Amino acid sequence: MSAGQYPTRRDPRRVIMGLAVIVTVTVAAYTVWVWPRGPANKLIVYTYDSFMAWGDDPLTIDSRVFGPFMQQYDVEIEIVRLQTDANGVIARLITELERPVADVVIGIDNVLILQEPSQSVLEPYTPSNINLVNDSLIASLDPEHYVTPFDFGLVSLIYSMAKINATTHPEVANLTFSNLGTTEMASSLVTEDPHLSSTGLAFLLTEIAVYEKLLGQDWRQWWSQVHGYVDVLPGWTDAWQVWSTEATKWFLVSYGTDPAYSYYSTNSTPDAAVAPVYNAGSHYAWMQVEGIGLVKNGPNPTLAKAFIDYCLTSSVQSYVALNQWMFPVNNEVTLPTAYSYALQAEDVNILNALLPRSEIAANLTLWLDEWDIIFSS
Amino acid sequence: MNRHSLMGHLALASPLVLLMCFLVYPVADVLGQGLFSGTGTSFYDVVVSPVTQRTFTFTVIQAALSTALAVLLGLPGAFLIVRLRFRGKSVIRAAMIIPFVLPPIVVVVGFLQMFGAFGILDSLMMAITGSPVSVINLAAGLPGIVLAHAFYNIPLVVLMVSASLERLNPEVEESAELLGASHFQNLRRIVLPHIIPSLLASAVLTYLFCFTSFPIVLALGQGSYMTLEARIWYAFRYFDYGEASSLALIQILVTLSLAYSYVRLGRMRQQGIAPTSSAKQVGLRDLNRVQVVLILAYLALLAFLVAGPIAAVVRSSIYDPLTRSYSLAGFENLLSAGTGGGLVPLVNSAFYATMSTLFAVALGIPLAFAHRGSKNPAASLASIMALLPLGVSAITLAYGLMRAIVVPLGLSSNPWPVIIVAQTIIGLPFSARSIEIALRSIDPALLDQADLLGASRLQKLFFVELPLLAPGILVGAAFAFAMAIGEMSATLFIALPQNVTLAVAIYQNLGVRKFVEAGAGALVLVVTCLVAFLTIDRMTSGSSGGTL
Amino acid sequence: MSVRMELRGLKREFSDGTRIGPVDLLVDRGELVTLLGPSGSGKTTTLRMIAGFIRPQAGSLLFDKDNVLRVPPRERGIGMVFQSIALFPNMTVFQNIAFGLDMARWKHEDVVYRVEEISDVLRIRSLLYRHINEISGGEAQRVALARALAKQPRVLLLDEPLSSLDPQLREHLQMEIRRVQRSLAITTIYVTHNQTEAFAVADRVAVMNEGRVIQTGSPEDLYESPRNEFVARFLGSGNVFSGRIEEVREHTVLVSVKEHRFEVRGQGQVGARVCFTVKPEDVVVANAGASNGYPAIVLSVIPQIGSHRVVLDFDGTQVVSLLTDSELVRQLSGAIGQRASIRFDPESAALVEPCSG
Repeated sequence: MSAGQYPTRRDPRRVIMGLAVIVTVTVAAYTVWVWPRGPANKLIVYTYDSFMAWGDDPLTIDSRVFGPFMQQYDVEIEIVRLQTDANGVIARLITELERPVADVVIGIDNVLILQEPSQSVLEPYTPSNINLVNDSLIASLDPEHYVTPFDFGLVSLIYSMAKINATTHPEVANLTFSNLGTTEMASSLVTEDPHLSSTGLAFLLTEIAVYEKLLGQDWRQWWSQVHGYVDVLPGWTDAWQVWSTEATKWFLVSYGTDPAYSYYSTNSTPDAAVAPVYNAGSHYAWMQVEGIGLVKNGPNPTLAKAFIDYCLTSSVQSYVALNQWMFPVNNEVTLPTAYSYALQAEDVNILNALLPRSEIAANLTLWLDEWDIIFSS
Repeated sequence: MNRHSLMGHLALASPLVLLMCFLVYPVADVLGQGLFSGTGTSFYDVVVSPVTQRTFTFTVIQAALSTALAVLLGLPGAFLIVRLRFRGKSVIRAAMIIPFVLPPIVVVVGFLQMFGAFGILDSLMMAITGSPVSVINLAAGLPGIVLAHAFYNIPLVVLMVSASLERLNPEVEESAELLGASHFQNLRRIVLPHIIPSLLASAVLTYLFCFTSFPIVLALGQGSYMTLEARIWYAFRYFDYGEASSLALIQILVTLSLAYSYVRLGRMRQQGIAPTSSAKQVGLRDLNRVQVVLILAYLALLAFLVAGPIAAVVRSSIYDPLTRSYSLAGFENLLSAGTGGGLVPLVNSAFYATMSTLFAVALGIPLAFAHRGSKNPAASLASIMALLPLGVSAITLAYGLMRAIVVPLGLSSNPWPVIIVAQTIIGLPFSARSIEIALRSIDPALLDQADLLGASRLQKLFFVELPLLAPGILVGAAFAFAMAIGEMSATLFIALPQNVTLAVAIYQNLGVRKFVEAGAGALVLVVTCLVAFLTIDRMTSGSSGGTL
Repeated sequence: MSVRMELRGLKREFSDGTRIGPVDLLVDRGELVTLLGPSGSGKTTTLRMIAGFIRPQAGSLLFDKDNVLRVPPRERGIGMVFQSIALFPNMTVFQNIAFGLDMARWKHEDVVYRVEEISDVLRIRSLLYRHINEISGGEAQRVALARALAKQPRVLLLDEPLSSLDPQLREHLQMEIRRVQRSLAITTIYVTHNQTEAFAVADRVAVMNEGRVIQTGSPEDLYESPRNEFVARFLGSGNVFSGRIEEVREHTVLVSVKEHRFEVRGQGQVGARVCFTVKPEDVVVANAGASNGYPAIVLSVIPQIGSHRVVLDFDGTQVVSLLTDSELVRQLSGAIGQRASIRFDPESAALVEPCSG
């Protein structure tokens, strides 16, 4: 028998080296692949995951909306959609406080900005073209100008028209909290956790405003009544998921533009309708205003300011309605026809006026804790 | 100390040093800042708060109930896997791992479609009772949480217990039978004592998972139910670092003591194990009718609970509920390279999970060796370090890594290495544990023999120990891979859009109602892990759960 | 090449209180010494001290003139076969045998030459391509031996190598081991608890008990003249009587056991407690009526190769005798539980030390 017929022992060092080479090559290839492209000097905008994600072509939306600005200033803009909501964006900015990467942040709403940590990562700035924005929005969002309004929406109950309608349930036309307090109705309601979702929080504030300011009653009553029946999900996505898959879930806490979206996307009569809260002859809704702000100590403050100005112009604002499904803050922009199905600010009384900013700032934690106590009993 | 033993000590110490840098330091940094900088709620206020107390009580209770259910439902499965001869056993065994890799949101959706109001179960019940309204909704509240946790953990119980059962020498049982023991006595006196350590260990592990559960509890808990982990997340969102850190500390203390008992149980289990797999088996035909009916009933239950949500995932990959039609768009999307396409997340997931699995193994090996010298303090340190990730909340870890590693190192705009770090840490307990147990089952005479034949320490490691550890390494790697590829909480916080993983992409696609894209992604996760586990099951001849 | 190995006062005390040693033993170049003793007598520990896995607290271990106690196991030049065989399950037969050579970075051609050479000696050439789980127990034994011998060790240590094999295979392999050991003339220590095996393979046998070597000698020496009660009981069939010296004669003493008197070869003082032993083949059994015998009760008669083994009860002491007279055996077989008589020559009985009574 010749020597070649028996297996030789592989040198382990060679195996390890081989493995190391493969790993190194892979890592190197990946590093190159994900290496930040483009010029070193670019404007970085932090925002939440679904920013401008609801349009016809979300993949090219950034270049369409911000392309002109990039050309004008010869700068690249990177819209960084963090895999989180606005609270998560602030959390990231806090961790980066010592070495900020972002220049601008979009999506801080009128409740989030009340919290001190949000202000701590922002630099107040008043855009030169602030006159494009309605004063009431500025007042609702942030008179101190840490953030400037970018878009707004009305948080309202919507219901699935496939499941119920005004004939089967006439009360949907003028839906009150006490309507929703029955076992049947409460069991059909899906909302979001106010700790984790801005719509959930908006709904909590809606309820507080209605009970404390309009009815003059203890807001905790209603929650105690529906607790155990109402379905609370962590976020809007999960809530929508449950509402759309489960036949018993009729109502969802969502935005007043949902019917418009439904009409626009299916090109037929909307399958969802709004049911804003009713009280003594009027309908009410909470207004969520989302703002754009300058990151404190960001790398390119001058450009960032120009960018914020640009965001208020119709070049950007005209895209808001069909891509964000929120209302543009620039009142010169005409709304698309689909928005005739949306709940308009004129249709309702805005509840924000009833709950002053200072009151929310002072009581938010307390309210959330009390909500927790109701829900964990 | 000569050069070789110095190198040896360095090799053993390196994982500890790395864990100090990437786990202990970042977490301690967050906890320290939260507890002592005076921002947010103080530790005392957190402890005395009724909300905390209720949360804690609920966390403990739901974990106990979930564990009980998982064990109760998993135990017969373990017996069937070992004792019943049937085709496709290895596929079933490999399929058991699937829940590990499913992102919680997918589980929730699967659960709703299976157990929710008007779900498959409910429709069936409605048809039976002729009721026009929903009869049963098991996908909400405490039952939902407990069932979903059982879904996650039944496989763990089945895999671990069946592995131990396989090692029960059939002669022991046979001799007991000859001595006149009835089936029941045999079970109680012989089989149960044999599997009790693995049963307890799987129960402790299940308990740990349920204790730190967060997305499931939030999704099915209807806002009424919260775990400590969920409250930590709340606190971080509202920038109450004092509360977040206090709760995280409490959670670490509780879970570490549990984890420690898990290690102790693992030690206990090690005694008197014969690595035999000659368990007695019977075919379905050898059983009487009552037994067959019982087994079929059990299998139906298990299929409903475990296979149901998985089937829902498979269906969702090709069925679009919006257009009510079937399409392959989801799979096309997975191959599309552009922004919003599925290729980037697919590559990211594969890369991060593979790298972190490699690291988890590379760190797990020296950790296991350090652990082996069970008397010195380094050994205890090694075992605690290896288990620490089970007790540290993912969000605390992610936050710590951002603060202490990503930002100071200037990785903010390119943080992928830290994602790998996070996923490595999360997979480490599994790889370390699996390798450690494999190491202990190596016949010491083999090492002595290699010594006498003139092998150096390194030669011994490469030519004898590592080849013999290979099955343990593979199993550990598979679990680490599954944990890494399914990981979401930490990745979500650290990742920039270009770092999105498949699990995160699934979540996002669901968010923008791209159902088939989400479904296809989930299906890829499921299939990847199924294939990985089948391969490993072949290579280790079917005792994948034994080394956990 | 083979060495002369000497153990001088090797001693080790364990934390659980077990004490091994001091062990003194000399193994000549090319000699095969078996360490024989019951389990727990310290055989394996002694072997592991020689191999270097257990560090003795005192004593020295000489290979020729060098004390190798400070040499690590892998540099001692020892080949060893473990009780569990310990073949590397991840390698083929060839790779197992070649392991030591590969570790020493031999050239592949040399490795192949040597492995083939040693496998020819052990007659396992045809197994070289097999995997470890594809060979039988006896084959595994030969492979383990080949592996231990491949690097031409200075000393070969065998730790109960055949304990897991069936008796016929065991006997066959004993001869094989003996043949290979002789042909390679390698200094060997062979640990076993089986007397037949020890006697079959050994040049000399060292009997161990309670951590010490208590008697060393050729199989014949040990069998013919055990020097103490333990050796006598362990090697013989346990015919050990104890009593008091009543009278001292020229070459013998008269020992009284209960109310009977025996004449026994040896010397001692009157009144001293002594034990003496008689080999089974020297015990003469007769029918109850025989004149000059001592009464005993027949307990059992068991046929074995070449003889019958008769066990009797002599006043509470168990006595074993080997009989070849088939007529007598037939009579005794019919008389289980009845009386018979025993006797033996004073010459065949010997005093042993110490005596536990």
